[in-house]
Amino acid sequence: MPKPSNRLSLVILTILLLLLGGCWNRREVESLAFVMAAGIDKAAEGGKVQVTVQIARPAALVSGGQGSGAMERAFWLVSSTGYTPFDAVRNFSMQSSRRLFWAHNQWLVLGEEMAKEGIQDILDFSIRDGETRRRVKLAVFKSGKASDFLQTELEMERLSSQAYIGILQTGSLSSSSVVDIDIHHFLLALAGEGIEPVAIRAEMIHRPPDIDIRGQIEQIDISSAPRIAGAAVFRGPKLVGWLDRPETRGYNWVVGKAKSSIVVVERPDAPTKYVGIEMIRAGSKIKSEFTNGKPKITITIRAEGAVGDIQDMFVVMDTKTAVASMERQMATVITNDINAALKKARELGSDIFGLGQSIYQGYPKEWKQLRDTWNDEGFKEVEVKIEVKANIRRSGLTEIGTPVRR
Amino acid sequence: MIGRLWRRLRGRRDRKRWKDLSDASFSELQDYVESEVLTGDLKDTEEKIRGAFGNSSDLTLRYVNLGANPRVQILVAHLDGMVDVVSLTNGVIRPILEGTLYASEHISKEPPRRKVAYALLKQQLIHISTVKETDSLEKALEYIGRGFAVLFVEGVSRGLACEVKGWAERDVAEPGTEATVRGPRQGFVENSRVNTSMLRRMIVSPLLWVEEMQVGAITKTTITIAHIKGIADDGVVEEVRRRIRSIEVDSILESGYIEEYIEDAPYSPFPTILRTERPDKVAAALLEGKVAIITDGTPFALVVPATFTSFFVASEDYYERYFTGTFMRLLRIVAFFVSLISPSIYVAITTFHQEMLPTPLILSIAAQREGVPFVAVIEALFLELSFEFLREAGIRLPKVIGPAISIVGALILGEAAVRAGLVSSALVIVVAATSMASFISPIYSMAINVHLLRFPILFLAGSLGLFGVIMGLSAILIHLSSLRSFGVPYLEPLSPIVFPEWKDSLIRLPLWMMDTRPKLTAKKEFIRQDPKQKPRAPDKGSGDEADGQQ
Repeated sequence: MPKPSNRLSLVILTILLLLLGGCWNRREVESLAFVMAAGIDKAAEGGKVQVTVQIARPAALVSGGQGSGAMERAFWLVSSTGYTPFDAVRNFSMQSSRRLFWAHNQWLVLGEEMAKEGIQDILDFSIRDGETRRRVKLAVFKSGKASDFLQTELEMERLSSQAYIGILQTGSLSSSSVVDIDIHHFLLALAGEGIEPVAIRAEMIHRPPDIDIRGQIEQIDISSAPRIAGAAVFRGPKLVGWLDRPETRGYNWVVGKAKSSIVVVERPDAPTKYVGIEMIRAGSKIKSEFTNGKPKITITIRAEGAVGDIQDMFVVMDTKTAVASMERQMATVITNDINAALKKARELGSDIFGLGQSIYQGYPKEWKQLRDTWNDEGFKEVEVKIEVKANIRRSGLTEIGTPVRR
Repeated sequence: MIGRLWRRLRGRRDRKRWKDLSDASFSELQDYVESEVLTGDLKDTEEKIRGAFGNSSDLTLRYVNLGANPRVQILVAHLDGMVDVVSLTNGVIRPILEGTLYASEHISKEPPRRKVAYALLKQQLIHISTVKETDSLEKALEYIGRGFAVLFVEGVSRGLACEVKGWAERDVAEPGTEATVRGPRQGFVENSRVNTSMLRRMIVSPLLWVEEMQVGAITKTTITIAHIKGIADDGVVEEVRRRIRSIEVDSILESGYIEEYIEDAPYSPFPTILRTERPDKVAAALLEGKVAIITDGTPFALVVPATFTSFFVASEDYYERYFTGTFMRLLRIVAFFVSLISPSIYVAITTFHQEMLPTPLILSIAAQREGVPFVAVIEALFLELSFEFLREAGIRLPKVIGPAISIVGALILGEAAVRAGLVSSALVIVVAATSMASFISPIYSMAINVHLLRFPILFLAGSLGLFGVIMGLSAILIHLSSLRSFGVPYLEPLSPIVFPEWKDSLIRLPLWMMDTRPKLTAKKEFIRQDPKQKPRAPDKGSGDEADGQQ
């Protein structure tokens, strides 16, 4: 124990050390530009990439709410080019008064062109830097450059990146015709054996103006609106195709993410009327086995549903057989969706379901021989058996078939 | 006897008059008084007393005669305002005057008459129960100063001090700093005798030992040490005695003086001695084997040993049920942390770790800080200091304008500062919450010290972010672990872990669960109550006969 006088000088030295070191890494909040969404495209100049970022404007978000006249835009869109994304980001300093802050970024949107050529060159920036995160959603924009997508604005949220997150959440919850992929899961599939990655599909669709009344936002072209639906299929780092909504549903069934989706079946007693069944539980198991040197995959789907909606309840349905019939129909619908997805994936030559992974996990030695040609041959030829166990558990507040007096 | 004779001779020889000492220093005067001796000469005694008290207008001297023929003269000295005039008259003066005849007989019968007169006074005439004698001038002056009436008999070189104390005092009232919703509303007063009587009312055992000592050369303050013999550790009691005895100062005005002179960690910001105004709290502590120190002249008593958790305990925790008690304790712990680190956490996160906040929140904070010229640390410092000004000023404001100004001050300060763009509104809320939280601890000394520690942690947060905050907290934790209060580790029962005592530290389990006393303070008398105290339904078969067992 040092002498008291030495102790005091030790304390003073420590305090001086603090003052001497200063405060490195200090970033004042108002000197940061919060990136909400980022997009990467091929630049006009050859060999370069163009990074577009959507930067939030906090002042506009907080105050300019009940705007007088035109509402202030909640974000600022700015682009920069460079040889690599890192280079492009550094070049932002020529246009932005504030330093880009990536920790709150939620979207990485890729242009279709860029994705088709392969994204192996641009992913590293998102992984290596400490400030970017792997929970960022990865999307591919079908109808052009990513920067066009970032310009869109949606109702209900001031920042479109927040709006799209909301769409993803409600979309995967209520219809499961979207996929919710972030960079982390994309990379898992990219590096994994026997599985290919998918990404979120974003596009612009045409919409007649009278159906969707927009607010006070000035928009040049009201006839098209952004939409997130379906999936983008990759083979390795290259985009090879798209899944549309039913196919995406099938995909979600196979990978076990179809919870809360809706299956529409026909009423057993009145085939022109429909019954909407909401899934409360949806699980899937992929099992692989080898018979006679040939692989065989069994996909077991367990689906439990609750009746959500029955059209024209006049005609009373007999309960037991009605339910059994609806369950059979459910199974059929699900199987059809899965088959559609399987067909499309086989067309595109990309095993997005992880059937190969299942073989790899069960039979690694056999997988070694299959893996090189899996996507082109093995995947297309493997026998897939789909078993669906569908079950209707609940019917809401009334029993099936409440009569309506005519 | 030779010594006394010699002192008298020497006193006579180089005796200075009081007027020669008119520009002497205090200690010289003190020495002079100590060297003076009581003689039987009343005139001389009067001169000495008047010399010592100077021109003090409350000094009252009166000559009375005892006996008629022969007659013995008595000098009565007291301080007006310090004595109860009724007792003085009825207990001292009247008996002397009325007993004159009786005295005469006795005095004439048995010489030496003065000694007889003195003996008569002491044993038969004075109607006061507490009577003390002294043969030194210094002690006699002290008795006068304490409100005694001192009688000097001519020819007898002793003084007879009768206790007729009576002065204006504050009534027993609700303690100012530790008011409760439920519980006794008596607080200690400035008179230590009254305070000890309050303790005796609560603890009726004769084993509550109450010892007095005097500390302070000029103030001669009475310090009372109370403990329950058989529960308290005798080593601790002896240590308390030893420490108080070794205090050599000129004055003890408040228990805080004692606290600073005897505490275990004089440099630490954390108090190691508990102070309280409530007798029930002191009684509870005594029953746990702690030692109480009561200082005359202040209602604040000290309790040792004190651990960290004892500063977060309010007596109310025990009077309400365990659920409330536990919740209140946990609230205080949370408030402790809030008052210590909230502004620092805010500064650290918005300056170094913006990724930790949810996006809408960080955008809102960024929006508020647009246009604020200062760096977050400076802003926080500025606001904290303003609140300190407000708080300190609020204590000294007269009660009439106090509330108005504090409301105006707080509102206007906060609102206007935000409007002017000097601070951001989020920080105003953080600082306000911090200040509120700092007053939740029932013991002011702990609360205010901890509250001040937030400034160093704020600096650390501003320079090193959360890392700095953790460094600061670790430093505090290390410091706390090293503290001991009269032998008891400060963080006990948290470290060292003593599980049975957790029933009463951060939480408060029901009273019927607390069968034991704290181990470190009450080793000898460990068991407090019968373990089976939980209220429960009566056993079967013990119902009334009227229940009908035919």
